[in-house]
Amino acid sequence: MTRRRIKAMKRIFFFLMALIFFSISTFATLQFFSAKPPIGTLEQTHLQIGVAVDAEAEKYATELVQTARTLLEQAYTELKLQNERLFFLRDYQKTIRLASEASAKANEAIENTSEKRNSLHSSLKKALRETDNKINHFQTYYAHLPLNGNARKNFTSAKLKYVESKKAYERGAYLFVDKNLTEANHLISKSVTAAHQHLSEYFSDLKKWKRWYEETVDWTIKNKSTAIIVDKFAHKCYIYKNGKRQKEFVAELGPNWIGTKLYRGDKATPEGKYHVTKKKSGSQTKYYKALLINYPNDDDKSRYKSNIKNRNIPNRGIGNLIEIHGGGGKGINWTDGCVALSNEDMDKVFALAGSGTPITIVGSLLSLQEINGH
Amino acid sequence: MKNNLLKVAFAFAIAAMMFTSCAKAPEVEVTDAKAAIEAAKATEADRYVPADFKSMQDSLNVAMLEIENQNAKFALFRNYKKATATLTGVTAMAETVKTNAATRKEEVKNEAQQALAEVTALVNEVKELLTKAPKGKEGKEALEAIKGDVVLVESFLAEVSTLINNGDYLTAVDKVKAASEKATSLKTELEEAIAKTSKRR
Repeated sequence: MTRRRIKAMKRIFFFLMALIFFSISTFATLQFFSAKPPIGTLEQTHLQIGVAVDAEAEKYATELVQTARTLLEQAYTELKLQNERLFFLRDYQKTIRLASEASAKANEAIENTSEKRNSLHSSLKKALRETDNKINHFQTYYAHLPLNGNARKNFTSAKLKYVESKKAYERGAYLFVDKNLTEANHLISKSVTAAHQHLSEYFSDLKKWKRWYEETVDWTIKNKSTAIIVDKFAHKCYIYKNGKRQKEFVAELGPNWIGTKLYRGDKATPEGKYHVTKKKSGSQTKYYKALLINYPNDDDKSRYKSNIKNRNIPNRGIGNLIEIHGGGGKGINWTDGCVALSNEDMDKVFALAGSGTPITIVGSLLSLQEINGH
Repeated sequence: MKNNLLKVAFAFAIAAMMFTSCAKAPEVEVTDAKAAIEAAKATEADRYVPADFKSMQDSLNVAMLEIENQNAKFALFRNYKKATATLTGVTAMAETVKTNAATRKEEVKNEAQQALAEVTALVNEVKELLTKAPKGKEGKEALEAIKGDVVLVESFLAEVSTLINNGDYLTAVDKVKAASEKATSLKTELEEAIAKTSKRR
């Protein structure tokens, strides 16, 4: 190999070295200044979507979470696209924009969820309280009434759904509670409506009852004497003396106490102005002590005749032997139409009443509105 | 001179080797990890062990970002070891999550079934009490009403069974608790009525 050739080779070598050095320097410079993938932004977006999912935004802001996810996927696709390009041609602006939009949507979903949850939390709390009040109201005023089977069935279903809703509310399942409580309210409303319908006819005699009541109280003033008034709806037996209420006792009635007595065996307690015809005690009665009343009175007889004539009732006779007697305190309406008191209370009533003492039995002394408190 | 030529050739060979032997993205591991997560989801892991499931998904996300981070680098400098390790970890974790989900699911199922069995027994007690309750004119109406309520509680329990069969254990537990409250109140009502009757006798 000649010297000249060696020199040429050296030149080529140095040229190549310079070229490599230049290439590496250029590459390093370009690499240094080239766009970097927005890993932090994407991580942040993932976290944000994760927070939204944890907050149950998938249930409360479904579309927003879905949009956030779609935008994040698009950001990934764009990232991959850019990574496939030459490094100095890469531009991650679109990726950053998409990721930021996804984050914004996730944030919006979190806020919406929080708002909806807070709003549901308080509105459902209120709704639960209202439903509880409705149930208690029905329980107090209607549950003891001889209502039809559906009214009771709807009431029990409403109560079951209410309790179920309360449990679901405690574990934060607000959307379920919202739906279930609506059903419970619908059922309780149906029960109340049925009870109202049932009672509206019953209360149509309110004016008459109030008149009887006033006449009886007036009688005690005029005669400076004692009278007994039975309020069937309140299940109360009152003793009036000289126009003033002296005592009150809990009264139990026949199971079909809504409505007046129409015929023998209807298990209804009569409504009307009566008086004591006989005081019974000892072996005269099986119910401790009893005050026999003059049922049927003239009004009862005339109603019975008219009903028989119009074939409104079975021809079983009008019935008799209606009394205020002891043996009560059972907490249910169990008599065949009589008014039952506890033996202790019967002692007091028995002591105050005599033969001829007026006994007025009314459906109610208060209107349904007054009873319901509005 | 000969030596110099050899050195140049060697340098080129090294460079060529470096270019041809650059790291490959762990595609198989990604596919495996994603499949493992899907399999875990199929066992409702996201519902029964949500924290574990989320942690697994987060790890996958971290690995995917790491892969893209490496992809953005010059081929010679790419290193997928970290991503590969995370992905392998996700695949392994998925198995644990699946097992945990199955265990938790079984626990909740047992809880719901046990509660259902308890309330069913309670309803049977109520039915038994119904046979002992006073049947005379004193209790007939009340008994009819209670019987109606028992039917409702039973239909409620039938809904619980359906929910358990459908795997909706949390709703089933709420429902069974409501039925339990009602059955307990019916039992108390009957016991009181029976006690009153015994007292009178």
